[in-house]
Amino acid sequence: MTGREPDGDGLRLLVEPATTTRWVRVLYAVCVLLVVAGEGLRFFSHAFDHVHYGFEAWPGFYGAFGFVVFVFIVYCGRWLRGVVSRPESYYRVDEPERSK
Amino acid sequence: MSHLISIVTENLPMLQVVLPMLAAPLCVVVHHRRATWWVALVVTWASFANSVALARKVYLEGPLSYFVGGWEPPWGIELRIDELNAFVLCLVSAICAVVLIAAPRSFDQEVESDRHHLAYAAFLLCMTGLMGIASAGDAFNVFVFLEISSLSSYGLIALGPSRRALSSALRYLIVGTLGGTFILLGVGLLYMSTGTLNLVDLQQRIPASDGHRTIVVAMVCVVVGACIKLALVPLHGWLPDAYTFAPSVVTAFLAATATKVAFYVLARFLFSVFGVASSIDRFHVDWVLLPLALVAMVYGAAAAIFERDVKRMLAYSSLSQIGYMVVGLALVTKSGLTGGIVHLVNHGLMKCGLFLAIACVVLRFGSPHLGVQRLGSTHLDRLRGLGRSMPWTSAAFVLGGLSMIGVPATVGFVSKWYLVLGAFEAGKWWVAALILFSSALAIAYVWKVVEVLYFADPPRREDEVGEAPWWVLGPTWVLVGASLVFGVWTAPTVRMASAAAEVLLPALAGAGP
Amino acid sequence: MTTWLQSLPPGVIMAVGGLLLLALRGRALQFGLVVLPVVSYGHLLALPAEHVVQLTIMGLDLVPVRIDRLAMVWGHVFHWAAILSAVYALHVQDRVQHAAAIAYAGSAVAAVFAGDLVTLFVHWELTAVTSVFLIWSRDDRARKDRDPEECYRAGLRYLIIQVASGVVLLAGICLRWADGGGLEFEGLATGDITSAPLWAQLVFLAFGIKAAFPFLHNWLQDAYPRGTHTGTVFLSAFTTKMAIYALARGFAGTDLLVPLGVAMTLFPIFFAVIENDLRKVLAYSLNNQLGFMCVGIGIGTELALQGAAGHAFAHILYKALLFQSMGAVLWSVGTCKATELGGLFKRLPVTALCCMVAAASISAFPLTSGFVTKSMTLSAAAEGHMTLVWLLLLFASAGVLEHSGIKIPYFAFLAPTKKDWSAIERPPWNMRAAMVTTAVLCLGIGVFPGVLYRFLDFQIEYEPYTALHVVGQLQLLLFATAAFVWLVRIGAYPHEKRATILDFDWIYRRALPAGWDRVVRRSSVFWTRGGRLAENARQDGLVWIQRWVGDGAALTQTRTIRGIALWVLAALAVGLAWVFWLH
Repeated sequence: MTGREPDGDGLRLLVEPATTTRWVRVLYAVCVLLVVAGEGLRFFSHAFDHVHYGFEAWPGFYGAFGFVVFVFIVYCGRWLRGVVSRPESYYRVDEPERSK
Repeated sequence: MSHLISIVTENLPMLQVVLPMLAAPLCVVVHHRRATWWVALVVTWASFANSVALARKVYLEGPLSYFVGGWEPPWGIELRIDELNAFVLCLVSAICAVVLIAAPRSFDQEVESDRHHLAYAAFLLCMTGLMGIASAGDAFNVFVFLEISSLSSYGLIALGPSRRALSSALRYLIVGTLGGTFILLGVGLLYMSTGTLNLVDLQQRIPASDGHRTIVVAMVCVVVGACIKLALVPLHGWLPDAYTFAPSVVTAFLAATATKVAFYVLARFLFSVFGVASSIDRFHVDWVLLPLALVAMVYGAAAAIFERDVKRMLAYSSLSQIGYMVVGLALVTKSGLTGGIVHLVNHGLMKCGLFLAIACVVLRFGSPHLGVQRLGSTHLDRLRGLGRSMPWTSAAFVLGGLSMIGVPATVGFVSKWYLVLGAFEAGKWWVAALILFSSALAIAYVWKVVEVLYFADPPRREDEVGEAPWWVLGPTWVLVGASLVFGVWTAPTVRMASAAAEVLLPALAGAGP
Repeated sequence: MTTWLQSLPPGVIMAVGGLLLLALRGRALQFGLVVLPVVSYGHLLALPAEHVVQLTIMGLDLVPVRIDRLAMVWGHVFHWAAILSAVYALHVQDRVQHAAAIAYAGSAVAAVFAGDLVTLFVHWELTAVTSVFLIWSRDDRARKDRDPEECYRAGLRYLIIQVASGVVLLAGICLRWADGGGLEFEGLATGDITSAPLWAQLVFLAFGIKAAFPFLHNWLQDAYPRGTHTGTVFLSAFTTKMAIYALARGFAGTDLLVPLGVAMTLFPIFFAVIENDLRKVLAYSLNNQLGFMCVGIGIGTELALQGAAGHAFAHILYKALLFQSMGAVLWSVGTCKATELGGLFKRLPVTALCCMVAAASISAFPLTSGFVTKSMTLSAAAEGHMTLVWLLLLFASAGVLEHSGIKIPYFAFLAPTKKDWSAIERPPWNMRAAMVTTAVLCLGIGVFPGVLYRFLDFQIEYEPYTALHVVGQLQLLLFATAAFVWLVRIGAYPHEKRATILDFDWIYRRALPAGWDRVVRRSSVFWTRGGRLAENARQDGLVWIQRWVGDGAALTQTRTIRGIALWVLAALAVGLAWVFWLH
């Protein structure tokens, strides 16, 4: 983990300091706990009896959905940047000329 | 006393024409700058009151006939007032009355001081002519009054401060005389073939002659003549220069009245005298007028966009607005004609207000006596940042401009609403589309000025100027205010216009609003 | 007894009073700025709960005031937003901006209480012309992000589009009136909009422009990031939500709104990921939120409509809070570009915390206002058995977390940076007070949803805090957060880059003008028959038009008497030929 050099100084806080690592671990642990809690609901309550869709009752459905979607969005964003990203002055250069 | 009052009330139709006519030589005799103004002011306001009273009478009691000198029509001269010309008379006298308040301050700046009395005399004569045209009951007097108004307006334009005023007046004189000659020719031909000059008699006798060649030629002559005075594209050549170089107040006066009266003449002859059966059904004059009017509408607005001199820009905008009026006429539907006639008054109000706002600007920017200059005082670049130094003038200009575009709650919207309705009534949706297109062009030229007024920085510190005096600003705001009031409270103008449209198109009465 | 105060439309106190602010300076201006919305709110609360004022002007039956349950939702929250935004803007000494903002808020309120389409139209246009000054105004604190020329042009584009929306609305009203229809603003269409009459489609389009439907949305992302740091807070609250109200009032149950709304929730997500200007990210996020509301209105069941109303209510507050916190950053630092920010947490702790509360609310974490309102729309979709819609909305919920929940607070306050912020000024007390109050409201609504539901007089019982809902939502959000952390660690998360992100506005800002230029150049080559002349003619497309219509143009030789006389002769000749031909 520490062997990887972050590519840019913008995102180092989450990577470098030890406290951050601890927070990240807490996050992962909470995620696991949530899945467990979901399964707990299945056995100790009737919460899953009246879900709208069957797949809502799959173990960790919401978590998996959130994770996959997030990754998908970010990768789509990266692809989109290649398509629609232009220099910051893109509109600035020509517009005043046209108005004259 | 009551005897005197009854004499006045009986002679109302004559008084409104005669009063300014008699006052004009009085002005020349009095000669004093301010005293002549007072004379003119009293007379115009009296005429205004007179025409309002007359309009009221016409609406309550129906059309009025007045025999000059007590001679009955076939021999004597008749003045005939119905709903249509009562409306036009109100507009003309109202504009004269309001504009005259602004005149002395503006004349001080733009007209040499020993010619003021002549200016007022010419102003009154022009008013006489315009009122006369609108009230005359026979074709020959229409011509006579047309010449009175034309000749005096050439003089008024020539008073303009720049040397080019002279050449524009000369050009207008030649072209206007051509127009007048055509009308005279037409009137002569009508007399030749029908033996009468009275408009009502003509109306009755023309159908009997059934498209006699002489009458057809007379129609062409009158229509071309009226279109010249109306400045319908492509016969508009005299207008931009004349409006640009005339004194500001004169421009405001002429823009709001002269072309409107010409429109009245055109409508009166086409619909009443020659009659719909002959002019429209048989000879399809509308087929010629409608394309020209549409071209005028778009061309005027497009030309205004490219114009850098605001006064001239407004002149081009007038061409466009004249196009709207003629569109209303050429649609030959009740709503369209109502729209055209109501636009006659509405455009008079807003354009007069706008030109007076220009008069305010000219007043503040020192003498334009410099003649032909690279940057006239009404050039767009001189108006930079004026929104801050002349807030009232700028606001008046913006409001007038909004009306020109046809923003709801202004008179411009009311006119266009009826024009568009008329276009749909006639089944010509593309006319409606062109009207909207031309309105979009109007946004462009109005915005151009707004941008300069409010968003451009003033060029230099020493160019900072104060607000115009209230003597000029007041009338400006009266007109701009009127164009807002009648934009919301549409009942009076629309009712008068639709009554007038009914006079012209009796066969279609009942249809439309 | 109907006093004149009772027939006074709510919001008019602000709309008219706002103009009076133009005459005030200093303390009096500040006083008026806050007092006007408070008085206006007091006036609204004093009016009866069901209240109608009718009026006939020039034959039009107008209903300037119509107060009922639905309108009151917006009436409350618009006033809250106006008061909070006014407090937030207290430190600004610019009377034009304040006057515009208050008049804008007032006309938006008045639009919500309009009972007929003509009144609606008037306020519809008033919001357009007043709000544009919030984009045009100077803002010395945000000079780096707000080039005056660009702001002016963006404002102009904004104004044109907003006014165009009003013109389309007016066209619809006129058509309806010409057909003999009434002017009432209620249930204009439902079901299939494509088979509705033309006027209804025009009105729908007009509402859609202001509600930022896909392809009609660019004014939002174009103009809002260019507002002043306080102005954008006002902007974010009113225009679009007024349009949402209009849709709820006029087009509840219109099927097309569902796919449109879904599209609105989706496409902004991807743009928000890569946008560098954080206020523009928020503008995209705003668009995404409007999508949820549109879906709710399109579903049209009582629960869905209630959800849309509740969502609009909560959304106005947390979205205002997000823009407030970004405004505070802009005020302190002078820019909102993610590449220029990071690590502001230490210097601006209050702002950072408030921003995080707003971020949590918009992401719908439990105990925040987003959780108790947005889920109603999803439930309504599920109850309507719209599986795909439901899944896509869930997808969009994760997307919201991405751009508003994580990206905004992370890049502004947490991301490491070498910059030293110890010298920057902290936002003044009034900005912090407004932010803290708004944050408390966001949390309060989340903790006590029943109070909100009762306050808004909801007719359907809805319980957001079920164990499954809480656990499921937490799973969704925290796993997505975990994905963010993981992506950052493997270096896959895209770094912020200074860039202009092209959107649909490229069509009218670049493609169309360029295409027009090309057409004009081609045709000028054609007209002038030759390369040498073409060189002169191609300078500018407008020159070509000018040649035809300008002063002394080819169309008419106006300058010479000879020219005019020729035209007169031609007219006479044509006229005579015409009549004799018909003779």
